[in-house]
Amino acid sequence: MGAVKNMVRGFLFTGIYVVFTIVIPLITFTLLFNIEGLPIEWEKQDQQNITFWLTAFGLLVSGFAFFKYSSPKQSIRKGIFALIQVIINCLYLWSYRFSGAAEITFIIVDYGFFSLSLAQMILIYMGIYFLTIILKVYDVIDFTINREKIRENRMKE
Amino acid sequence: MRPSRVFRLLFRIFIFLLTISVTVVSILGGLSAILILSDTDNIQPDFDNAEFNLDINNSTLEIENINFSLPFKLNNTGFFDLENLEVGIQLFLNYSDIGMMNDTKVVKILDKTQNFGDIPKGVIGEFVFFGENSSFLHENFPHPITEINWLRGPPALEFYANFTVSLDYSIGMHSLSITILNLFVGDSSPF
Amino acid sequence: MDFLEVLAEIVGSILIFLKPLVVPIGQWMVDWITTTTQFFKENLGASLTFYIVICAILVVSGIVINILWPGDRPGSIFSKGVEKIEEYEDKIGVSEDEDIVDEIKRCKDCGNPVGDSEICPLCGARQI
Repeated sequence: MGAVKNMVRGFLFTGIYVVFTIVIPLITFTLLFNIEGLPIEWEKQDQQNITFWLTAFGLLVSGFAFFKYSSPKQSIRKGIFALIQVIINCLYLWSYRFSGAAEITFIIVDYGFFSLSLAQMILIYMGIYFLTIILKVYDVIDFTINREKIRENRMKE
Repeated sequence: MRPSRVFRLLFRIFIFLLTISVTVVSILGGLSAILILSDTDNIQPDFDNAEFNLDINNSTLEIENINFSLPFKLNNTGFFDLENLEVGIQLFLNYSDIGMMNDTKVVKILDKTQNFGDIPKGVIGEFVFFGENSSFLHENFPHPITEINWLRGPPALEFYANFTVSLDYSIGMHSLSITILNLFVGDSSPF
Repeated sequence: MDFLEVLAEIVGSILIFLKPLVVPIGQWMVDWITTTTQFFKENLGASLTFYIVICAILVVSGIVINILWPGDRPGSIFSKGVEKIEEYEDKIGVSEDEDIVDEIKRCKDCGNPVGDSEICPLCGARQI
């Protein structure tokens, strides 16, 4: 019964990850690329880069999400795959950089342009991501050291 | 709950607080930008008191001294200090070149960026942008007799400028830059 | 507006305090992520096959591992193995407490291991 429950949870979260990391971004970018008259201009190469890397890393994130969410609570394998998933997630988020999201420039017609750089904010978010990685490493160590206790508790449930 | 999980929970709360802080600062930063930019009185270049001095040697007709000053005010009505305020001005001269069959020529005569530091929140910063003689690109000035067609126009000389205002806000998380291109700033005609 | 100003003060203070710590870490993160994405770009940037295969392997192995070790009871392969060993032990009547050293034949006189030999190789005593 536990295996079925785990797998249902795994498939559910994989579905959610596929929708949020691949389907929605791809639809959004496809629509954006086809809108004419936007102040932002994309090169053909940029478009290919964005769609390719979002799909590629989205697939990896979703695959690891299945492994993570189908693993038993506080198990070592859950800890390890959660850690890998966070690391892959960093690569996934960074692939948005190809879309020019870190540097937004708007052309003000007959006037000039306005640009907004979010580089510092991205550095802070990346720093926070590092803290999340530390948390996942801590989980793996915790799950390994307290393996017997966790297992006993899980069997009782 | 095991002690290790309690420690984890505390660390998680710390990460959550940090994430929330960055998000709130970003939102308030955006709101600050709206507050400042939505009211045109908050950014006031004082063109009425702008000065442009040009001293030409009467015998050699060469420029002896040239300078330019523009006072401006910036009212920081946002939630955070505006940091690292920089104003860059590029001044262009438009004239008809006698040597080139009276073709219109545009030359850059000034390229200067000045840093005005920070404007604390709720404070009106009053500054003067000053382009001194040495900032002007003397080598680009056309010769008044052999190059400028004074009979063009009027006006014989037209001045255009590119203005760039850049600053950091939201505790340095966002860097903003506004560039105004080809703004007509004045003309000159002896006839 | 006052509330927002107080909020800005609080979150601003938190961020001013932690920014010097977090930004260098973020810079380091960006460095290794850039290097890794560059590696992916140069070596695995031609087609999506690799990523699809990895995703499929993860899902299939996840299913298999969950069947074998669901987590709420001892894993099926492990428990079957233990059952088989216990069954075998019951059949041959071996006790866990018995020591293999105790089974070795020794000389009655000197205690030297003699194996199947009738005479002790050390003291020469007959082992009948």
